[in-house]
Amino acid sequence: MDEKSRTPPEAWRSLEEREPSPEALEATRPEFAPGADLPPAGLSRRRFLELVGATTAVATATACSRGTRGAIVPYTRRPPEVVPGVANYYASTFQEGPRAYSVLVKTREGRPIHITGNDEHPVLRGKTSPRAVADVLRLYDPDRLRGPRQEGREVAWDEAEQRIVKALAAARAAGTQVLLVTGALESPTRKALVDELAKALPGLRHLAWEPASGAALAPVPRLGKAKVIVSFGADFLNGDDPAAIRAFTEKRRPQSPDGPMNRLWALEGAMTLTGAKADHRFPVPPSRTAAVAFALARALHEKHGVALPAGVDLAPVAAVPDGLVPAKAWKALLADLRTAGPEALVLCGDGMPPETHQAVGLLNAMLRVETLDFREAEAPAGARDLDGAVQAMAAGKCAAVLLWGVNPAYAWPDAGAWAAAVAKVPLRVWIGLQEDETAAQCQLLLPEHHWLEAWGDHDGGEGLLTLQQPAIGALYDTRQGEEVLLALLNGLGSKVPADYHEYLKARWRKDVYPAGSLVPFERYFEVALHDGVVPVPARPARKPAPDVSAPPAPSVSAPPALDSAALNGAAMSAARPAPATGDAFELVLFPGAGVYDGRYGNNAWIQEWPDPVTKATWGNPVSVSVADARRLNLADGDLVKLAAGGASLEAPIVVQPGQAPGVLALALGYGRTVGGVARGVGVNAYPFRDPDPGRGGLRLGVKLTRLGGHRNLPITQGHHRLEGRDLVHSFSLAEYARQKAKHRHAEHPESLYPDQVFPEHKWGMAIDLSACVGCSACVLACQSENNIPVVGPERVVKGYEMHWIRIDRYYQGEPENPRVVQQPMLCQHCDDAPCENVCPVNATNHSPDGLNQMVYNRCVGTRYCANNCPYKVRRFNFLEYTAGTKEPASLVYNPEVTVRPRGVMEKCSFCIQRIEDGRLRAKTEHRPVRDGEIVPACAAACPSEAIVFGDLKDPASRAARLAASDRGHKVLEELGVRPSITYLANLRNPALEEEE
Amino acid sequence: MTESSTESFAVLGLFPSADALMEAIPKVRASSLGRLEAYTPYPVHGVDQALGQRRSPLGGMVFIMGVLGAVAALLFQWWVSAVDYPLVTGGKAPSSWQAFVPIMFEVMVLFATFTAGLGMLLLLNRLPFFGHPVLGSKAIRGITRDRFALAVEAEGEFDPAAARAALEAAGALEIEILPAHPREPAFTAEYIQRSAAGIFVACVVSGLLMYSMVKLMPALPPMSHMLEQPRLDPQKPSAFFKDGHGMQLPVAGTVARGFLPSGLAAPEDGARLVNPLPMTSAVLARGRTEYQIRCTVCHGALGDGVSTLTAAYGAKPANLLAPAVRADPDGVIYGTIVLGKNAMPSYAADLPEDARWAVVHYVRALQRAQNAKDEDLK
Amino acid sequence: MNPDSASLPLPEVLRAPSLTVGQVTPGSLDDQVLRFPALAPPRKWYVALAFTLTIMSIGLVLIGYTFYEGIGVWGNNSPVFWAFGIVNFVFWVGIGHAGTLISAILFLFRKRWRNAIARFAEAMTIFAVMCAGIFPLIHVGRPWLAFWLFPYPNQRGVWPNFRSPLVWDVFAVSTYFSVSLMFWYLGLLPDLASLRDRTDSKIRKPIYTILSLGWRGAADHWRHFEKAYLLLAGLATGLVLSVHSVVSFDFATSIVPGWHMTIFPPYFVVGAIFAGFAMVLMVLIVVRETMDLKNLITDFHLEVMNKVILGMSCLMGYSYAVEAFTAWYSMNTFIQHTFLNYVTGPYGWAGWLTMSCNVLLPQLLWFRKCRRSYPWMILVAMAVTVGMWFERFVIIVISLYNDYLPSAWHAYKPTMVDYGILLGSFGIFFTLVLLFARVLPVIATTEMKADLPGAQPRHGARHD
Repeated sequence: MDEKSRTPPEAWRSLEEREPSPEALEATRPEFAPGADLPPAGLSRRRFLELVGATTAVATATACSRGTRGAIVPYTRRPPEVVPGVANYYASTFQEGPRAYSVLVKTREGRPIHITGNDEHPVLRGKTSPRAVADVLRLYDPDRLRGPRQEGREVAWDEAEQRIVKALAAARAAGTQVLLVTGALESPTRKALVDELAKALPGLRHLAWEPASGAALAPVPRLGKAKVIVSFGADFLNGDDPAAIRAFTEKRRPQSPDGPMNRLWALEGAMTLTGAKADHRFPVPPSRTAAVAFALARALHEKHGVALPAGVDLAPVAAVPDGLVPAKAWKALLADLRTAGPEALVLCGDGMPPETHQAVGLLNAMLRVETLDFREAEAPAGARDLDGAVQAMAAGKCAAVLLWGVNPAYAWPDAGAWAAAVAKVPLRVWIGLQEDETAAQCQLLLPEHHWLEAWGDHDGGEGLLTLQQPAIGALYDTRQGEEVLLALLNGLGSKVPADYHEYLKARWRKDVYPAGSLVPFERYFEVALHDGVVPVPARPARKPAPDVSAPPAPSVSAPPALDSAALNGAAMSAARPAPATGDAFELVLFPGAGVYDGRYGNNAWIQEWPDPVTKATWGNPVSVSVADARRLNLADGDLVKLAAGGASLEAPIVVQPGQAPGVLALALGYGRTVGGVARGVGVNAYPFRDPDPGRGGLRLGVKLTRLGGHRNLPITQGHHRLEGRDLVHSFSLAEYARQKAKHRHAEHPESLYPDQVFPEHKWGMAIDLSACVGCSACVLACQSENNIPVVGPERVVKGYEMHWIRIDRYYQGEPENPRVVQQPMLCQHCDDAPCENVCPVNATNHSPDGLNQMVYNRCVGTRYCANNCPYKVRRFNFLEYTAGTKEPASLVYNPEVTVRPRGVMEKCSFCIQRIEDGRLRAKTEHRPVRDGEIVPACAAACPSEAIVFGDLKDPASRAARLAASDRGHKVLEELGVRPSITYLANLRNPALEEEE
Repeated sequence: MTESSTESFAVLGLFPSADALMEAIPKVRASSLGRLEAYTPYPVHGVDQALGQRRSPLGGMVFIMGVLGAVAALLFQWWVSAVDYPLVTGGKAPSSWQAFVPIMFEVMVLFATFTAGLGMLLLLNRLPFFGHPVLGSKAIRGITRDRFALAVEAEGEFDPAAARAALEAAGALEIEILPAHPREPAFTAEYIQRSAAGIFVACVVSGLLMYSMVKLMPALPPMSHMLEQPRLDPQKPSAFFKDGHGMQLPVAGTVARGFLPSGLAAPEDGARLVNPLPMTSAVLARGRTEYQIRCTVCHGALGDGVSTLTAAYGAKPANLLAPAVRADPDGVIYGTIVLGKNAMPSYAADLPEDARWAVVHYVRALQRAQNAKDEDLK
Repeated sequence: MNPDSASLPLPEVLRAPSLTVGQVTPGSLDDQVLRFPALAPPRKWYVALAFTLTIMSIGLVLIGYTFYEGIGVWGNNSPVFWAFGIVNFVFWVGIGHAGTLISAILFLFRKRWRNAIARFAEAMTIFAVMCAGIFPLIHVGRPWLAFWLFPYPNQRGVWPNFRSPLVWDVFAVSTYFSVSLMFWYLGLLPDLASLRDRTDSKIRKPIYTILSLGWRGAADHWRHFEKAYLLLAGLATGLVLSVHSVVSFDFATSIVPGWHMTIFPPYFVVGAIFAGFAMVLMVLIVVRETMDLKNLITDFHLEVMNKVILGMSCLMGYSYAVEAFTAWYSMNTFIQHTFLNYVTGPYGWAGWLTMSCNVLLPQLLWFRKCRRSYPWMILVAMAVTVGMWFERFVIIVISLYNDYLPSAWHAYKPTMVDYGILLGSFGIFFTLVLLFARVLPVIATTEMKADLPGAQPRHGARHD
């Protein structure tokens, strides 16, 4: 840089700088020659060394192949209960609407991975609902709201709570209303908390709202005591109540043909699991059930002289159901009820019209049944409450609305009215797990703990209290809903602990802790947490408690007194001939088997879980009866339009054998518009629900029009007939008596090769089809235990579903009203497995303890084994389903089970990880494995214990004894593959020998 | 063609047809001037006898190798399935041989074929060989087309002229004398160098290939070897949890099944507890083991609080022989083990219930041993 | 020229003088057949090559796609775990049977007419087996581990399962390929020598020199050569019968209804020869027309091949009948159901197509006119090719989609990827055929020379 090239700078600090003197220039001249600081041209020594270094580094990098195995991060101070690699179990409680299930949460290194029932619970006895099992996935749902938000922006908890407190205080001052909408409040402490809030806030209007279930769980059937059960659309076997399934099925597995065995009569419109299990099933449109029930009452009275309660007059109703029940069967039914007397039980479905409920109440009263208890439970909000709430909001009477764990924007019968009304409320607060349709309408979004992160107590029914304790700390910046209320209480001036754990203990110390107990409370509470369930302290019962033997006395109350006037009214309306609706249908609306009222819509396991009746996944097709389908020329997947009043929807249909003509059935809980998984799956049926929860289960006058379009339904079982194949055995008791001798399964076919020897164990299963009701709980338990991937609807259409166990459901007889057989189908672990000797790489072979092993990382995926499997229980990863899984979704994976990539065959392993666990435990304790100690996930989840696993080599084991039963048979035995699973024939107990 | 006096390899006579050749052979053969060989475009029947060549031994070789192949295949399959890695598949015994037959047959055919083909080329015909004089001759074009050549090859002292005469007499159309070019010795320096270089290059190339196969292949995306599992294994870090630990701590106040906390707030609360274990030698032995594993480090082998760590850490472990400790009821010592005291951490996680009580017994034993009364010695 | 006499194994003395038309001398034969490598290919050859290359690249791209995404991009599903992949494999292996049959079995039977077509048929065998070899590799779930099917000592200490028919396949097909290659190359050797000595090209000369291994036609070599050729023919005969039998074991040894059949081995072999001949016939027609070799590959040759096709077609009919009878006679509800499905149900059309193409249509060949007229024989040959492909489709897919448990039944629908890869395999095959036709002698000149009238001396011992 020399003077000529130098231009004066724009900005200058001094005149010298602007007009520099020569010496100044001298000073500014660089010290070294230009380029002196640059390396010499060409490859300098330094550059060379760099290159050498780089090359070596790269070479080393490539040399250490297959990536690093990662760091080891141990506990700095290991908690006493946790040993890395060993599972812990926490007793807790899963609550769903009015029901609470005491569960055991299996955690690994402080992380929940699996859920089973709590074996300490005297009634559930280690069983729980399939949805409870699946709900562990919701804990890790990436869609969960991770922190409080206000108008879409993040906000601090305190700030958010301050805002609410301010609003509430203002409301209290102004005496305006505050609306609090929650689900059913069965939790005593939560209820106490809400009451306390109501005390502190006089204007509080509380709404305990359950969108899908109308009535409370007042009647508690004692199926164990019932000889004859008549169900008017009551689906008590759908898996929601494991205790009921157990009580029912315990009377369905007689050791000999002469019983004892209960008998189930089902009169229902849509096919349910209960109807599928019934000994006699009559398709009756729900709108006619009342008439039939009253006719039954009248016939009992007139033909069998059963006394009617005073003032009841059944003159208007017919004494015979016109054409709905065949005369012979009708007679048999009457006789059956008469002889059973107090041991009879008549049940009415939740969704049935009130008249039917009346009539059923009458029947039970007439028969003086001793098979029914009543429990105190307050009925959830009725039509008037809901209406009132909307009115109040619309009128601008509400200063604030708190929506806690509910989704009215989606599930309100008249969502439009709700939206309009709620918009008028100045402060709208939403407390929930995942952002949903309602969250979009609110200003304050307060994320709630998942129940696995939260404390609580619940009414376990049967006079039990169950506790809920967190199995993991909060994953995100969330609080449990109760703590929000506590904060509000504190804000409103009442002194309560901010921590719900404290509040819970305080209340228990006050109300539950037996006075004058020798055990200190802390200890008492710890034991309660440990067991998860404690009996309710004795309270004055309005009726002398029947017996105090286990199960503990239920909190019983007298059956609702019969109101003869109401009864007569009901009889009148039942007698009235149904309004001529032309070709209109009546639509049965029921909670989705998996998604329930829609709250589980975002759970992929649930979405891919085949509906136990239709086997449909990922959606809710409209069930149409065979006759109507034939009449309207409809086939599975054809699109139709349903319209009633203002509501209308378009959906594909599925033809449902056994459904009453003129009846449609549609599951609630689908058609969500928010949620990564839930969005756009199925159609929303809520608009069709009657605003009156009491009548919500049935919608009359629905018009069905055919749209012409077609959609391939993701149904996991496309073929429902047995094609005359002798695959699953089902007998009436009489047939059983006849076939007993010749039915005993034949000896194995001859083999070229010597029999295998199993030195130590020979694992096997016995599955009692008579006990299996097809609730499919096993499917979800298996999915959770064995890291089974979800493939999505279009791949289910293609036949790529991965479930290791499926429930094969076959219809027998004419499609209008078929008999149904359920058959759990999983790997049969054949001794002479045909899949094994065709594998070219020995990836599947036989273990010395009789397992058909699958070595995933040896599998190259020729799929020959699957071709050669006669049961088609092998599943192939046609595409990559798992590699992309990231935290938090991947946290639910069971660390004991390999996650399979694409191109690999997989199948049921009899939960080999549990077998090994059991064997090792026995080994360290220097004892043989105990029978029943090793339980695969499916067997553990099976509410009726239809699946029994054990060592067939030990003749004393339960599985071996069942396998030796004269009902035992093996599927496709003639192939000589020697399956390790024995199926016990299904038994029916028909009143009159059905014509084959 | 020119008469050359140089050492010659053979004299070649060309004939128009197979017949002509067949007629010529006996005549030339009679004059036994040298070894006779015929070159024909296609196999001419009878030439070999005419030339007095023996029948080909190939049949025998093929048969032997075929049998060898079959036996080898059978033995190999049996060894693999029954001896080296026996596995039960389809309920068949590992040594069941019935399924080995197809491969036995295939390998037999394979061996036999390669013996026939390669044996014929390499062994019997000494091919490939590009240096044969006939290949350099003018006649070769005809030979592989439609000419039939009879060659009198040099044997001992050889007279090209006589051979030529004989062939002409036999009716050869053309005569060609093939010069014998001198064979250069096989193992010259540059030959060895060249082959060595070749071997070296081959090794390097194959080595690099192998390297890239082994190192790169498993890394490429869709190729999963199930080494990287998406699940979270024990003792692994996790970016998801705030503390970066894959292993989380249980929530305070929760009670895991089978892990009821000891309801002790302070060691002194244990006072009411009584030692459930009898003081038997077995229990004491257990206690000693556990004590030596967990306690000796600080409290010393004798329980006198003199330990290896004292100097280093300046900690002052309790002297278990002190009267105060001796006065403590068992439950308090138990409580100390469970809850820890001062610098001492809790050992609840490390010592299961019965081990703790066993240690208590052992501590009692130590105390008594150090303060033995006279009657103890009796 | 009396065709009938040619189809009887007569001693050489009584052999019909010539199977060629017009004056053919060894020299003219060379000039006619061996000139092609020296000639610049015509434009239509380039067009054809471009076409086949395009198809081939489509196939290769789709194979890459499958490799990256997984088998899920195909139509395969549960229970139809095998579909196009294996269908194509069996189809191509079948095509690959004509060559060895012609060159080996007909050689043993001294069928002199084989000489003209053997070379081409053998080449097609090799190309077909190459195409076939692709499919087992790409149809597995994790192709990068397919080498585990080979028994090689490894650090895992695990071996393949020698009870699996798939491992038998590995051995059978690879053996078949190497044997065919060997057989083909040996036959080629003298011709390569002729090529070597015809040309002075700087490029081809050294290549042919190396390929011909310095063959010089010495009588001393010929005696070993003939012996080896005879032995190879014998071995290849046994092999050609075994290979498709082993392929059929994939199905026959399984328990899938419709696969578990004792008739499968012979039935598959017949089918293979059947399809192979049809393919060879079609290609030969093109070759003799475009390369005017009519005088060497005469109508008589075509007619004889048509007769073989006719015979095979009858055997196929017989096999179908036996199968159906077995199904009926077995009293096995599963097998009966499957066989009803072959001709009824959603895929019934495939069954009917198979039978009409393989059994009914070829009956035309009873008429001499059809045996000698292009349109008819091409029609039949095409029908047979299509029919044989669909036969495998019927056997594999229809047997699988309805097997034992009705609950597991599921329909099958191929995807575009399936079609694309099938097409691509044809592209590979015909590309190789086109290249072969230009660089190597399409007719075994040496064997033809040895058979020309007057080629062999009138007297002298006779033996082979």
